[in-house]
Amino acid sequence: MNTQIQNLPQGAHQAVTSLMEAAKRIETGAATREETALRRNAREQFIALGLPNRRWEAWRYTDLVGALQGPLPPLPRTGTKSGNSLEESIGYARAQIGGDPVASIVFVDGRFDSQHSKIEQLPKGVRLQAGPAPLASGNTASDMLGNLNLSLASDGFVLVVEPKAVAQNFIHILFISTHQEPCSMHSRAKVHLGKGAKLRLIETHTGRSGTSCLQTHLTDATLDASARLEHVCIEDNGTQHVSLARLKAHLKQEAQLSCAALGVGGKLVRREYDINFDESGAGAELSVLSLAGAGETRDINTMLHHKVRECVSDTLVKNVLTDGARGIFQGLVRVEHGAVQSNGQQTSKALLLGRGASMNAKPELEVFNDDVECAHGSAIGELDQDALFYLRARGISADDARRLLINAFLNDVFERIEDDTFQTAVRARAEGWLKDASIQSQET
Amino acid sequence: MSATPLLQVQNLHAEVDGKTILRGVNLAVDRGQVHAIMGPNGSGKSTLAYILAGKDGYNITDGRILFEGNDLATMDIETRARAGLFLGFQYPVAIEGVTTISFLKEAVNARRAAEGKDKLDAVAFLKQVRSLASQLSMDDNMLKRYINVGFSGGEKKRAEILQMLLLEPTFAVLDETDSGLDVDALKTVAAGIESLRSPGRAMLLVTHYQRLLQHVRPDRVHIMAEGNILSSGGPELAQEVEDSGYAGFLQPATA
Repeated sequence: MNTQIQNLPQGAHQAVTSLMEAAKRIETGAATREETALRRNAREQFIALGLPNRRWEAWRYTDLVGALQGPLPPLPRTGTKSGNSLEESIGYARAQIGGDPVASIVFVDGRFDSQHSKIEQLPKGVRLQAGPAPLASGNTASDMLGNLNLSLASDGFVLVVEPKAVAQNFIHILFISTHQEPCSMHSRAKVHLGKGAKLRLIETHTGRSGTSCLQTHLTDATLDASARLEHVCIEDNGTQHVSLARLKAHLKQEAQLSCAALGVGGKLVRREYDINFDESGAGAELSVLSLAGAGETRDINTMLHHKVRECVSDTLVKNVLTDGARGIFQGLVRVEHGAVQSNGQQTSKALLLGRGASMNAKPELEVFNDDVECAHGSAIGELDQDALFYLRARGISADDARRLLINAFLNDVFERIEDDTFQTAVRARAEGWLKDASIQSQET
Repeated sequence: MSATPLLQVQNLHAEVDGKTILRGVNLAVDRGQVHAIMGPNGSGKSTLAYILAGKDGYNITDGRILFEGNDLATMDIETRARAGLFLGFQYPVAIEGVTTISFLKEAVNARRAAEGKDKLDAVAFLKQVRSLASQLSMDDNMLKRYINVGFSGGEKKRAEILQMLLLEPTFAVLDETDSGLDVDALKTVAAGIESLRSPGRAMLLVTHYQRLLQHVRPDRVHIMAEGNILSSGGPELAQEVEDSGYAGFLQPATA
C-alpha cells in the first residue's frame, strides 16, 4: 500500500484494505490469464493513486474519504435471493416506472438475478447477455473509479442493438439493495447501438438499507451513425449508500444521446458523464436533478468532448438542497481545434432551502477554435420571497407555495425527458421527495 | 348592514425596514361599500395595502386592524386570504414554471378546503375560469402560460381581477389596479370590479387618479398623505383632487 493509503483515516483505510483484499482474491481466481493481468493492473494502479483528496481537481469538493467508514467487502455470491423485502423492492421499482418494458434486467446487491429478470422476449435485433461483468471495454482509463471498478467488477450486461433495429418499448435495469451488513458492489455494462438503431433504457437503483455500502457502476455506450439512445437513471438508495457511477459514450455521425438522472437517495451520489463526439453532427443532451437533505452529497461531473465539427451538447443540472446538503457540479465542454461550428451549452442552477446547504458549481469551457457557439451559466439562490408572498396572498399555504415554486424550478428538467413514461416516473419520485423533505423558509 | 364595520383600522402605526410610514391611520369600511384611498406618491397607500395582506417586513408598531372583528395581526398571509381578504397587486409577480390555470386551481381549492368544501371538479372549474376570462376579454391562452410571465401591463391587471372574481373575496383591496391600463381595458376592469359589488362585500380602491372612480363610483373617498388620512368625504372629493391636486389637502384646513 502506498503512503497515501497508509495515512488514511481509519474508516477509509479499512474500506480500501477490504476492497483490495477482495480484488486480490478475484484476480487469483480469474478464469483466464488475460483477466488476471487486467485485474492486477487495475488493482496496482488503484493502489498507486490512492483515494481522491482535495488536490484532485475532479474530486475537489467531494469527500470520498470521509464517506467511507469501515470495511466494505463485496458480498459473496449466494445464489438467487428471495424474501419479502426483495419482492417488495422489485415490485416497487417496477411500479415506479410503470409502462410496459420489453425486458427487465435485475441485479440484487450487485449480482445478476436471472430468476427475477425478464429477458425472454427481446425485440428483434436486440441481443442481451447478462451475468459476468464485461471487462474488456473502453472504461479502462487509468483513473481511480475505472481502476477500482475493473479490479472488482463481478456482474453486468452487454446489450447490442443491431443496425436499424428499433425497440418499440423500453428496457428497465433494476438495481436492488437488500444487504443487512456493510458491503460493496461493482458492476459494468456495455451498450452498443448499430447504425440507425433506437433504444430507451431506464436504470433504477432502489434500496432502503441503513447500513453502509459502496456501489460502483460503469456503463460504456457506443452509438453508431444516426443511432438514438435515451438513458434515464433514478438513484434512490439508503441513507448510508455511496454510489459512484459513470456513463461513457462514443457518438458517431449524427448519433443522438439523451441522458437524464435523478439523484434522490443516498449519502453520496456521484455521477460522471464522459461524452465523446467522434464523428460530426452528433448531439448529446444531459439533464440532471439532484435532491439532497442533511448529511447527503450529490456530485455531477461532466465532460463533453467536441472532437469533430458540428456537434451539439446541452447540459442542464439542477440541485435542490435542504439542511446541510451539499451539491457539486463540475462540467467541462472541450472543443478541439477542428471542431468548428460546435454548440456547447451548460447551465447549473441550485436552490438552497435550509441552513448549511451548499453548492459548488464549476462549469468550464475549453475552446480551441473561433467558430463555435458556447455558453455556460450558473445560479445559486433561494426561493423568491415576492413569489411566495404572492401565492400565499391567494390562500395557498406557505408549504404548498414553496413546493409549487420548487416544482416550477424543476419543471424544465422534467420536460426535457422525452419518453413520457420516464418523465412521469422522474416527476413522481421528485415530487415524493419534496413532500417528505424538510423545507424551511429562509425568512428570519 | 351589520352593526360593526367589516374592516376597522384603528390608530395604525407601521414601519417598513425600520422607517415609519403610517402614523395613526383610522378607517372603517362597512359591508356593501366601496371606499377609495387617494394620495400622492409616498403617502403610505401601498404600505396600508401590504399591511392588510400581511407582507413580511411590514410591521405594525401601534394600533390594530380588525377584519370581521378579528385582529389581523393574529392571522398569517394565507389565513387572511382564506378568510376572504384579497389584495390586487400593483405589480403582480411573474412566476416561471407555474401555469396560471394550475395556480388558480390551487388558490380556489385552498379557499374551499378552509371552508370545509371538496375540491372543485376540474371540468366545472375550467368552464368557470373560461367564462370569467371572456368576460374580462382575456385570451384563453393566458391560462396556459406561466403566471404573469410575458404578460403586458394590462394583461397582468386583468389577471388580478380574474383571480378576484374567482375567489369572491369579502373584502378586496385593489392597489393601483387602474395604472397602466388603456381606456378599453380600464372599462373592462371596472366592469369586473363593479360586478363584485354586493351588500355582503366591501372594497378599498387605492389609486392615484380619479379615472377609475369615474367607472366604479365609491361611497367614500379618503385622501392620504404622509402616513395619515387627512380628509374623508363623498365622491366629490375625488373630483376636487382632479381639479386642484393634492396641494390643498397637505396643509389641513384650520378649524
